[in-house]
Amino acid sequence: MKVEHSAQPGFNRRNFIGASSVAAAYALLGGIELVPGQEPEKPADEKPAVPKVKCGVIGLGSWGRELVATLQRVPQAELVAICDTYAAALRRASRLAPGATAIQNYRELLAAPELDAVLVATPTHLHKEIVLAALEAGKHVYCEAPLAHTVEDAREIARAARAAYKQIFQAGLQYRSDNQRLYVQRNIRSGELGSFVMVRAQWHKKQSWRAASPNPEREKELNWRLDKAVSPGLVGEIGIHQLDQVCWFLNRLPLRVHGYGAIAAWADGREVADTVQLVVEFPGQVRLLYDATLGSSFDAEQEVYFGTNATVVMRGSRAWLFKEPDSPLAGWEVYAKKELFVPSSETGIVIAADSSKQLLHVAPGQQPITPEKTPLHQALEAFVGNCAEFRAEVHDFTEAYGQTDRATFEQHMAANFKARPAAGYREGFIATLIALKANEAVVTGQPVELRPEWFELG
Amino acid sequence: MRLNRRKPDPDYFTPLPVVRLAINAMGTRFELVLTGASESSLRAAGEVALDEIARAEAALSPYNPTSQVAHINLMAAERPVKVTPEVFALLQRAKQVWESTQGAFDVTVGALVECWGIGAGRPRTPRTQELATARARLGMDKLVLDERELTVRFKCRGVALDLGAIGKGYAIDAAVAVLRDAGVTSAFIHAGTSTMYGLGAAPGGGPWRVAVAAPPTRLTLSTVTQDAAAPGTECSTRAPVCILDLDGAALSVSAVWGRAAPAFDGPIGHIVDPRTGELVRHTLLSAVTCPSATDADALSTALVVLGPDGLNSLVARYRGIRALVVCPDRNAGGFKVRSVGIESGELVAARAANE
Repeated sequence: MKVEHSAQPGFNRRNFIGASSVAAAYALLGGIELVPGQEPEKPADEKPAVPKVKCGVIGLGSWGRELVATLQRVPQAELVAICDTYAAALRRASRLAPGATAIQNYRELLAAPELDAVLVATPTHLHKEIVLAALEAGKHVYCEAPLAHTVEDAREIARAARAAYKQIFQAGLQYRSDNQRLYVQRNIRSGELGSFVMVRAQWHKKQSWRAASPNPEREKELNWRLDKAVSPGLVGEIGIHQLDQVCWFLNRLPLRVHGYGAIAAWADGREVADTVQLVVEFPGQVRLLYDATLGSSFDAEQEVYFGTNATVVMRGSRAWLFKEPDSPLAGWEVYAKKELFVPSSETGIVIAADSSKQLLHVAPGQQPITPEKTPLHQALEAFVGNCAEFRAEVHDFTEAYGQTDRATFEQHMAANFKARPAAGYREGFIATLIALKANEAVVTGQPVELRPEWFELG
Repeated sequence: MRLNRRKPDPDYFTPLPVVRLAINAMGTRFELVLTGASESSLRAAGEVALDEIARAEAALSPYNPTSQVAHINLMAAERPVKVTPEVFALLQRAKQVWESTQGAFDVTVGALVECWGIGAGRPRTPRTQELATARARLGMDKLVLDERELTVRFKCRGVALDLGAIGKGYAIDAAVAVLRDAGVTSAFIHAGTSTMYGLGAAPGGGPWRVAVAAPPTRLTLSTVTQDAAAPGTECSTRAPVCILDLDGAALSVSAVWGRAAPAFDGPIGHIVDPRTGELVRHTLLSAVTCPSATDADALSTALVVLGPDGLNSLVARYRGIRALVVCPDRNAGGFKVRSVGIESGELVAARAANE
């Protein structure tokens, strides 16, 4: 760590601690960063052993374009087609993927026999029709989260995915494939934190959530997220990832959710809340306090898991562990990298209980030491990798045994196919259900009970 | 009232809304000004443009461990690194400019800049041997760009990319493209006032008009350690070098002052000539205007290194560009302006000096 070469002249961490009369107080906040062991990049990355997976992306809004760009960094993937009904979106995505065929009708894309997999990033309420058709056409499917705008549609998608057992289905819950979060999840599940006390999570971004188009008709369609009839709301569209992570880390399903919504920042005639708060009740008297807003970008995104022995703070893909002074030591902490968790500004320092403004990122001017991948990058690598290996395994199985019953097939796959971590149809359905019910609580202002039988696919 | 028989034209009395947005990215601040009929549509379009800038930064920042450039820098010496068609095309463009300027523009110049302690803000004079070692790792010929596989590979260790001298222009072009797609017809966008683009007409009706500020009267260590914005304040009474109208055009300005560099006699600055390893002294400032912000950004950097002698050949090589170079004059604080394609009416300071 080249702390001395900080880009802010006259200010570096060491000086700061030395000069500060509250240094002792900050030292108490010293956290241990939770960093997974770095696995060296496999040489397989260089030359994929199996044929590339031919992919198509349907829905080319800003997230769809993110999929298009990221997919092209995955060596095992070949982006062959992109699809959107809106010509301008298609044109813009074509600039990102000049080699891919641009198609306006998704049925035309699905009809291409050489296409292996489709990624669906259309407006949420349009997922069902496309995903069902794609599964029907025998394609592997990556469906963005939430799976649908209604629980019924989400269940239908999940059931169809379950039935298509010779195909991969991945839900767009990219945190589930993130190496860092997988590591933190194991750490938390190991009981390191003692008993869970509570969880706090937030997502803040100043953004109108509107889309602009020269065509008024199109503009209305583009603004589906602000259309009360079909929008899963801020909780459904954004909060789903954090809600899912909390359930996953706690290993519990929520019992009840209370929600509040307000149009606090963008009173432009919209009916969908731009600011929401949730209280989500879990078994064991653990509650998640969640807020999301489009009105402020301060303290953008964070999750805090409070335990009786320790607390874990996650910001983006980084995590820190703060042990209570009286907690038992596991032994490894003394060897761990310790990082001071201090406010980034010299002035206006507030030692709040939530220590809300922390210097968490590598100082500007410092080159990273190891390459990292975004959760989306890892999720798409998992999807494409799973498609390729699953396909190879299905091929081997069919060669050896021909067409047999599902039980034999699944037995073979369980023994021979080791999937990379990713959210499947079940995780996708449960996350969608929770997020939609939480949004219902926000919209109605009434608490919503989550009955255990709802989580069953039937 | 009788006088108000004719209904007033609402557009005449109500000025069109102006929406301003900004984002901190690429070590600078990007600012957008949009005008049009609907404020909410303008803001929506502007937010998409900001997203494009953030996306460009996420792809290009060498400091972000998930970026494509960081992946190239950390892995391309070992094996080919797959990049997006966009980043690949940008690297190809950087290589073209490198070739056509005989290495005056070089996105691998980082190691050399570090020798002079410029990035770290601790200027020093490097030893000859140090410069020689750094120069051995320079040049776009150290890159293998595989067009079929869209991969990048370094031929040797120690090569590092920093697209700072072309990336801001690239981000602006990407932002302008989405503004056009969203139906915006009037906008101005700039990255830390060094690279900018004017689209359509400004709120007053005419084109977006920008001035290139004159160099500070005295370039001492105290002035060069000041912020890049300092020249404007330093010579607020000095006439600008030129005033340009940008209508569907970009302008990029590269100045040698603005960041710390070692003290020498005469004008000094923070730009290193990749061909020699020395700091640029013959030129104070360059400005290039053309339809592409990516090109303007790269070519203004090339031109400040090439100096007045390279002006004609650069303009001949890149058709459609207009450019100027400001060089130090013999008497302290004075400067000379040489330009190609910029009309005499646009050259304010030069005209004032002649009068």
